Amino acid sequence: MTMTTPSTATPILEADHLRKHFPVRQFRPFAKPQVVHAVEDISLALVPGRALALVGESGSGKTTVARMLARLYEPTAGVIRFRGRPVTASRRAALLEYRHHVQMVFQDPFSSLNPVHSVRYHLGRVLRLHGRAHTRDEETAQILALLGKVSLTPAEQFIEKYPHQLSGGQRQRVSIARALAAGPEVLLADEPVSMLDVSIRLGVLNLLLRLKREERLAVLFITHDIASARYFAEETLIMYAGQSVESGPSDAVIQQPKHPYTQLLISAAPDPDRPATAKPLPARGEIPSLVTPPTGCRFHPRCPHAMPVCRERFPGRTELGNGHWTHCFLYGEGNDAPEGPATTHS
Amino acid sequence: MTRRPILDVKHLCVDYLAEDGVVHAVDDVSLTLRRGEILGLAGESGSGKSTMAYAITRLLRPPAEITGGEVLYDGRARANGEMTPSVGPVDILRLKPAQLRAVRWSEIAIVFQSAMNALNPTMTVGTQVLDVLATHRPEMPKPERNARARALFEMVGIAAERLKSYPHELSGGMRQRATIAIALALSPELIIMDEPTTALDVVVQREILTELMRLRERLDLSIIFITHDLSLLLEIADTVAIMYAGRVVESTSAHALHRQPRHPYSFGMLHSFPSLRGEQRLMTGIPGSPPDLRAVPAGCAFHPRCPLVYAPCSQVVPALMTMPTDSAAITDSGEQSVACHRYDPARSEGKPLPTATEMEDGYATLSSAFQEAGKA
Amino acid sequence: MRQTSPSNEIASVPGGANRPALPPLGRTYASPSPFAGLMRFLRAFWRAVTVNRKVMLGSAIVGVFVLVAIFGPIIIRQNPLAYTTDLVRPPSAAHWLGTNQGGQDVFVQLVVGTRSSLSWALLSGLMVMMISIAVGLVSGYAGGVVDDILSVITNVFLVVPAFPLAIVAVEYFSRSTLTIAIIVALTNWPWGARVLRAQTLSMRSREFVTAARAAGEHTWRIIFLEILPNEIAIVAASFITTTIQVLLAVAALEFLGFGDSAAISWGTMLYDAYFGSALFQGAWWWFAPPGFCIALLGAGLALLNFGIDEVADPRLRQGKRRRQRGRATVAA
Repeated sequence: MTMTTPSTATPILEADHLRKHFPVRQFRPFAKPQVVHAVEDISLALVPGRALALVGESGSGKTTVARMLARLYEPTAGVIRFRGRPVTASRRAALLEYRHHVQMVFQDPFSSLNPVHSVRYHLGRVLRLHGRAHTRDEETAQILALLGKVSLTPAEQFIEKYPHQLSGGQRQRVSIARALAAGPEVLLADEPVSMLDVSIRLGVLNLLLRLKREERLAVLFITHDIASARYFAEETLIMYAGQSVESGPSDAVIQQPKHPYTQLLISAAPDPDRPATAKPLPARGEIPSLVTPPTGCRFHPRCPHAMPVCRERFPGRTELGNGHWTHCFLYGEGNDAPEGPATTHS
Repeated sequence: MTRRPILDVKHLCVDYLAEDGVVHAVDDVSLTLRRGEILGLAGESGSGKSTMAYAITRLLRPPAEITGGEVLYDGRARANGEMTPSVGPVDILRLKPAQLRAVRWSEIAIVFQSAMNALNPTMTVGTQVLDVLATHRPEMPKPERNARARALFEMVGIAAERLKSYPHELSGGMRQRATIAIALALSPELIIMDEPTTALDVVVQREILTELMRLRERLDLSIIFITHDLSLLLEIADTVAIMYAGRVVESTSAHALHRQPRHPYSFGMLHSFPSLRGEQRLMTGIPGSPPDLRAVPAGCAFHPRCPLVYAPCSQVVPALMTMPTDSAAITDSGEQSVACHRYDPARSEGKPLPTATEMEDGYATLSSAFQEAGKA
Repeated sequence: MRQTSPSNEIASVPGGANRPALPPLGRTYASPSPFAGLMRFLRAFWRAVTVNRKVMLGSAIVGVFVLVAIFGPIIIRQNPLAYTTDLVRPPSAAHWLGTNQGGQDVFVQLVVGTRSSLSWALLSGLMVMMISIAVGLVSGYAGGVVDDILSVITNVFLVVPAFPLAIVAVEYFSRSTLTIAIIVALTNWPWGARVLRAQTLSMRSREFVTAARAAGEHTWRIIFLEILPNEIAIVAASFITTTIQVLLAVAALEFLGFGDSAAISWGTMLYDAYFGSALFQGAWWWFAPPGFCIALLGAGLALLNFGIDEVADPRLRQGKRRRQRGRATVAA
């Protein structure tokens, strides 16, 4: 089902060396201004009809990356390119035009729909904002089509419903329909199933898989569950504390993890089929503060293989073949930054 | 070797008195936890698994009400001789308030999902440990209490200096460790853990679980571990009970469940977790959604989502029945029970025992049927 | 053990033949007529109004006053200021609530005064509501410097003493109810604004707001169509509270003689009664009705306010649950 060879198709949305620092609001007027180094130097590329999984723990910066790509946050540095052209203008018209192409699905189906508005309002607003419906009849027809697309049928029964009348899975489908209402080519899905009940997760995942295939959507799939990354995405990018540590075809990353952090993450994941001989790797320490992050590779305080050089600078990218790469001195110095986007390219 | 049960829940029923009628949150549930074992309780939202935790410790508040059953606790006689009975098990549901207070914490402790809510944000975690000790062990001299608090923290893997920290100064994992330390303060025999690691990252979750497994060995703890993550339970639990809409649908050893889930719901749940290894294939999951407890389907509550459904399913509630032991599969942990008509010779209508292939194919057909009918 | 009674229903496997036929998209789908929306609103309104006894009583009281204010002066076509020779007469068939010192009919004055008192109270309540919504939502949503500035302004207005300011303003500008209403509105909005700001602050980080932004929604629509409807209970409560305050403040200032002496309202009636030594003469029919009306309207509005809490907060709907409880224990 999943292709493991890197695609040669041209990426539709690329991020080059994205960086995001959030200022910390302080109450002491003369204190040194502090920033949260949420994302350091992330590059990635999304290809139509394929998915890139962004995997990391809380605080890894994966949601921040998605929100930068959705232009909800302005990157501190770096470039976002849509169809090869840098996206910079922040005028309303330009933003709206961008959002016509790039849409986002949120994590929590219970708070991502406004309790006071009906399904019709949620979808209708987006249709009208993006000029895809002008009359009420057009709107109704489009909404019914969208609801059908996300398997909420008979659509007539859902169109006038309010969020509290829907189950978690149904709400998430409405959320997905809302994202599709803009007619996007890129879908940024921020943990779209993590808040759902186990038995209905697959239904929503399979829906996204189908949309990816049928609508040729380029999907950024954010998750903390590495197993669902393997299930959903052709490629996986692992993040730790705002830095990218390893990426490549999902199967390669998961079956032959190279970076010590990826190895730790995989050995910690629940896996009933794990051979009894495979002991979980010992973890030490915790995710560092992003206000005063460790120098060099941010994983070095927890890394069993840490070397003096890890403290000094962040390793460049080492290509491991077949689109698989990592940032780790265990595998060499790597190319010095700047480098190309994370997947397919370069 | 069969170990004596430490906790025997029999026919427990819990109702919620909702605005428009009574909701059976836990409906005739029986469970057995043997001493030194981990009993995993798995289920989705609304399955009643958390209600069980509250009911066993009698922490339920109105509008929830225990309407029947017994919770038999068979503690070990204590040297310091508090109320623990030396003769036979006691029914927790019938204890007087003073006796109940003595049992809670010192015999049965609870760890909740949200450590932040369980800890008082205005006190250091050390004070909170000492408070528990001071309340329940007033005879203990103060220096001894301090030493105990330090020992507890080191036991769960937190540096003793952290006793001086406030909850907000600790990371999520640390906080959950602190609540475990507080739960262990009075050396209970039984700990009930309600989704203790759900809010945590996988690496932290794994650390805490490893720690917990070590503690269990060392302190001979018995644990009820409640979670929605069945794949996690298969790794850590000795026996697993799977709940659906307030009832246990399957109860068996983790090993047997992993090898051969009998109930179609267990089967579907197990096949809802993408795997890290093996062939990649499209999984179907379980179509539909868990039922609203205010409108549970008649008969077997799972029947509208079940790939094996046939006539009796919508009419009669299946009882939990012991399966004939499958000689190779059964190890030390007793029998495999399942609540499904297909396994009941009296109701199976001559159909053979369901096979994995039948269930898998059934789910595939059912999923596409749901998609067409739009009930997904 | 509980046994579920067998039902005759045969398990229906979804899909198959009984699947409902879908109408072709758009065409046959009957979009609800505009009246359907109105009917739905009226039904929801009726349900809200009859949610419990407090609200029913409150809305009945306020409703009667509103009707009197609208239709009273039309039905009673008498000049409330017309002098007669019946001076300070107790209630009679000719003068239902007696007359005052000038022989003016107290009942007519009461009815005519209702319109003035109620309309000024509601008008200032409305002004307060609008200012507090604008300041509270913008401040909470915008954050940063805008929030800092608006918060300082809010806090300054919060400590301005309303009553003395109103007295000074009436003396300085003009002795009109409008002046009083404006001053009362200006000094009352900060309360609502602060509550709404706090609520908006927490609402802003909810995902549906982010989702609306990600969809490309206009900022003003996010504030007023996504966030505001979620705060209706607070808005309504603060509207009612200020209405009561304005009602009392206007009456008090008029009673003290800072009102427009040519206008008829409950406050000016009390002022006249005081200076006409109604109390001394034992003319209870002169001062009691306006006082009673003020108290009654205030109580009615307060009852409505309780109701809003109960409509918005399910935890307060206790009556129903207790009834249910009794039944359930019998069943169990």
